Amino acid sequence: MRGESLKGHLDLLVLAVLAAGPLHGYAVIEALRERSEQAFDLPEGTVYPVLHRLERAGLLASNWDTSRGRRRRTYCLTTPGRGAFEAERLAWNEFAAAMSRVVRGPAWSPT
Amino acid sequence: VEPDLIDSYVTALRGRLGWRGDVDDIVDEMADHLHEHVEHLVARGEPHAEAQRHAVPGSSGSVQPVAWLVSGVAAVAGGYSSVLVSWSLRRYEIWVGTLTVAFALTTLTIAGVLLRTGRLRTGRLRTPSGWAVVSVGVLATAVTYPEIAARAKALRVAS
Repeated sequence: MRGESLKGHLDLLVLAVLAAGPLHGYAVIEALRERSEQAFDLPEGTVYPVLHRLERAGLLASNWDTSRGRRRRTYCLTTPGRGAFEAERLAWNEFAAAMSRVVRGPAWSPT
Repeated sequence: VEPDLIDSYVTALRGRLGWRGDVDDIVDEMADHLHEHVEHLVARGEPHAEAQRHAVPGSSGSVQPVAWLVSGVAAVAGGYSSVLVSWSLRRYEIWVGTLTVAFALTTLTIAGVLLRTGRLRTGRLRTPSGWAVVSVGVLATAVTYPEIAARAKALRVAS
């Protein structure tokens, strides 16, 4: 699934994978791919700008450490970020349920 | 020895983003991402060199904007050269007007694409704007080729 199809939902997706615990950028991309069962295979050019934007907004925090001789940046949810995630998740569940009811439609019966 | 594509890419990235205050963070994060990606592919059985080519943007034979830039400018320049002969004044004016507009649009579009992607040498041409550039280049070539061919034929006959 292309990034364009997910516009508007990327923030929630990133917050959701980070709600399980801190991850570095590549692990965020892998988590999105695995948790979506390969449906969301997003390029780095899509995911990193979201991470940086959410950090600027105060919803994520990042820390630098060293792993295998490389500097590594790890992201985690802040307290406001966790609150935003819960609110966004609730709104999404309501939206998805309403969409599902409409798209599914009434049972069809031949007359 | 296979050149280290990640090092080359990261060096080029540092050069492009040198004006930013957070260039070290961006470059280090990208380098970590690429190394992680390569290690992931190698763990799945891919040879290291092949894994690098898959992981590093623009190193797997993708179309390079600079190549399109050169071909587009060459096509338009070819169009200009075809009008520098003794045509009727009216025809000459139409050609110059058409090609001037085409040249301006092509240049502006290419500049916009390159500024947005920031990938003059290594980026992939994936955006609709990028394909618009290609279309303009192909169109300019298609429009100008018959005139160039006719002029070449006339020159051959004259000689």
